[in-house]
Amino acid sequence: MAQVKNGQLEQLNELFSRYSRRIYNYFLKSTLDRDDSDDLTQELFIRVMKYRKSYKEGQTVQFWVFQIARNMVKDHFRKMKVHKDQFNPVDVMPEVIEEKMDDSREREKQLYLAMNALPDDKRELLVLSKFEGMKYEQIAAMRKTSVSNIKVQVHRTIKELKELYFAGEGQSS
Amino acid sequence: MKKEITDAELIELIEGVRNEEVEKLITEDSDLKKRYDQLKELLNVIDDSENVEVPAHIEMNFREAILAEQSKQASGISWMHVAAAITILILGFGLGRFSDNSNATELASLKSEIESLKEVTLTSALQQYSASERIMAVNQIEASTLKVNPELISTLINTLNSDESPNVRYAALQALTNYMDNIEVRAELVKSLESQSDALIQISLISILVEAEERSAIAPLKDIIDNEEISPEVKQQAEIAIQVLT
Repeated sequence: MAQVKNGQLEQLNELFSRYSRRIYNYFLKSTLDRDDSDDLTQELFIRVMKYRKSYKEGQTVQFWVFQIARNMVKDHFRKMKVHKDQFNPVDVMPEVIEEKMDDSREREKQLYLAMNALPDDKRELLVLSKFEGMKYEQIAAMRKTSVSNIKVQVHRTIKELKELYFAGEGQSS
Repeated sequence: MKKEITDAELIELIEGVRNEEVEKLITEDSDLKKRYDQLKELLNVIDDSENVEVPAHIEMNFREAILAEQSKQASGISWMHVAAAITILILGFGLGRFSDNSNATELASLKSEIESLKEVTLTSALQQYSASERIMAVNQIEASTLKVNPELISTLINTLNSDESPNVRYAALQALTNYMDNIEVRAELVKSLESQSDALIQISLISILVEAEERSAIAPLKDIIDNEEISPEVKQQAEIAIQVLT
């Protein structure tokens, strides 16, 4: 990123290869909308290019990129009226892989239905922690709060998700 | 009194934080065991969920944005100044020379001299300068009023096939699409299909050749489908292209 900041825009291709999949799936699981995730991913990398000079050397690129992504998701939640009743979990899942067992795909559908019922900010926290595998310390730095607070919030969200997941079991198909 | 175990404690246990007391209680209390199993199942489903691939058009659009930014960054660069200076110099000399007695033939020859100088400058820029400047040179060729000539086309084709930067190669490909009525350009693009390794350039090439209805591309497209090293997305485009072209 330091090279990009110094004008070597060619390096943006490398940055895209390294982060696009994670960023795209972060947007997808946070917004649960493919079209919005396409637009947000596109916009994120344009912002990275446009605001490259604001990158502080020494900062991890992951932290900087995800901070931009988080701000975009927050703006998105503010702007968008999500039509939760029209949500179809298959829209946010990969194409059917033949080897994947039917029941595992059913469980995944159930998971996204439960996630759709979570409040937006809790879902986004869960995505960072459990899908992106970020450490509590990293999320706490990003959300400017304490590690213990993040830990409590993640645990509460998982508990809430568990209730939703098992309450909807058998209703996804 | 029976100790109340929280979901947080169960989650920590699942996440690998050993707690012998909780582990023991799980074996003794069926309700607790059920809560533990449910949390474990949920976290397993999360772990097993797969990521979705980023749609190719996002990368393509981003590359175009990088190209635009690189062109912007490269404006006002050295070789352009050199080219402009040469042009002004020749124009000044020419105007002075012909101001008294205008001679159409010599004026035309001077114009052609300027054109070839411009061409030489752009061609050498493609061989010597930074990626940003090379993109700028390709864009200048694309936007210029230079007549199509084999030298210029061959420079673009060389750039498409051998430039180290995928962005410059992509810009060269875009510039070449202006010459699709030229049979040799189409043949070179078909040939290039065999040598490109970048998925986005392969996809762009395929769509350009399909649009040009270039049936000679069918054979290399079949090779792409059979090549194990080529990405599934490119193969999928190749399959669609063959259906359209046959």
